[in-house]
Amino acid sequence: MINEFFAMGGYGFYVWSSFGLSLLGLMFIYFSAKRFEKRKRTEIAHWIKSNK
Amino acid sequence: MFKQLLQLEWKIFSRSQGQWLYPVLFLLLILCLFAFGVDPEPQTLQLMAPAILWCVYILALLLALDHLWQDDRKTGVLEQLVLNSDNKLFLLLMRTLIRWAYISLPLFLALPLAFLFLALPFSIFMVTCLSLLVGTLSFWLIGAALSALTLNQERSSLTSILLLPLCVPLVIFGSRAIAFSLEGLAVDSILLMLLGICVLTLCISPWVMQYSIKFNLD
Amino acid sequence: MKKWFHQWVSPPHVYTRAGRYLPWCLGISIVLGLWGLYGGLILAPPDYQQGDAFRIIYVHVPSAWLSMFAYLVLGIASIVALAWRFTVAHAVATVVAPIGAIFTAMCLLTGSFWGKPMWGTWWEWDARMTSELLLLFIYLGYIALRASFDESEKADKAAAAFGIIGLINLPIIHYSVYWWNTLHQGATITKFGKPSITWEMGWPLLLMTIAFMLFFAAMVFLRLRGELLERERRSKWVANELGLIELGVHKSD
Repeated sequence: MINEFFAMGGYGFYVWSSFGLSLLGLMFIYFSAKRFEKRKRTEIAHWIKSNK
Repeated sequence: MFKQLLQLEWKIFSRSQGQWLYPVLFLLLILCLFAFGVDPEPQTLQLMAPAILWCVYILALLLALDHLWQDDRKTGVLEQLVLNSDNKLFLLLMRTLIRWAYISLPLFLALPLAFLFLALPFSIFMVTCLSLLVGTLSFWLIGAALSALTLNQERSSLTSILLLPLCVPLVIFGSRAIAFSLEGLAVDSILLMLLGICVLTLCISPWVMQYSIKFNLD
Repeated sequence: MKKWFHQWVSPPHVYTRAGRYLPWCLGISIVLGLWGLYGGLILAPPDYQQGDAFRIIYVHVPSAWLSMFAYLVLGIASIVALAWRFTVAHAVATVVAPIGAIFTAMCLLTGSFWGKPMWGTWWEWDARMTSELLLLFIYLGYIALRASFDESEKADKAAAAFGIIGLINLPIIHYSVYWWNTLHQGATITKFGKPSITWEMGWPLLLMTIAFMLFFAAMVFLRLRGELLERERRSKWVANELGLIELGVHKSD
């Protein structure tokens, strides 16, 4: 049964690649956004301190 | 001011020592390259002709668009155009149209030769001419607006990158117009679409140009 | 009334609100996404024509929808930014672009993986795929345009203008590409003719789309917070926010 799930009627490679790539894309969006926000926080904090 | 623009253009033309012919030569040379690239059977050439014609015309115009406003800025014409408070939009439009005429009229002189190179029948000359005329005008207007946006940038290919996706409708309708007339199908609706796009760009482009030049010059 | 409106577009207000809504949007999006995946991958029966491969629809269509929706947001933000010059509007436009671009790329990739088993090639000049490809170019151009300016004020103005030009142009591009494709097809069948969707197959698609939209909102909020900090670095509320006022760090009063 599980094997059928992974095989996806013979299209397994394509279906799972698609879902995998989509997941990668979403994770990329998430992590790059997180990184961006964090970087801005530290950057601006530094800037404020040094520009006192 | 309008007269001055015309005079300026005429001066550039008469001093250019035939430089205005360069895009024409460029166009013809690229057509040759295409012919070399395929087996030059009339059928093959005719099949590809609409696409090639359009792409080559657009490429030739693209070269001129990159430095469209930079030159004006150097000669100080740009400030004059923008500071003249009366009819900025009209002047900008006129300047763009004059430049378009200056660059593309020679290209239209090359059209009959292009027809020969691409084995196109002269029966469709009028339709081709019309579609190219309207299409290159729209292309030029959008290009001038985008060129104004990137006025301060050194990297010239940015304008092209911004411009080309937006010009896809022009290429589609323009080349299909030529292709349809080759097959003897009706081209009225396609030409109307082209005309509509042209009118739209005529309305929007001057505003964008004015807006862009203004903030870029500050 | 006016006070409420101006409060709404004030950066600190948006900053706080975004932070508050973020976890909810993200959380609900994950829940709906998992539910939708369950429905799409397990519950929905295989399609008559396409077998199990049709399941790619559950990521392909939401990506496509989001890629277009993101540009709509970008376009509207650009219009608001051009007309009223709100910082928040410029910030939203800046932030949405990379996210939209990735959704477009996802759509193209999943479409490609759907096309290979169904139609035999990795790339087809199908109407939707071509449209998405052009949309990707427009996103990339937008990002490149912003990056090419040194002064952020000019970048904002140029980007707002280009964003609006793109918005106006997109329906025309879309229409012309579809028309061009019908010449090729000769009929009204689009290549990626979706299997006639029954509710059995349809509800997971709806869930996935909503999940993607909430995820999009959450990510926009996240990036927006960073962007607002950047744009408003000189203001008191930022110093306050980063907890730097107590240290005796004062902005000129």
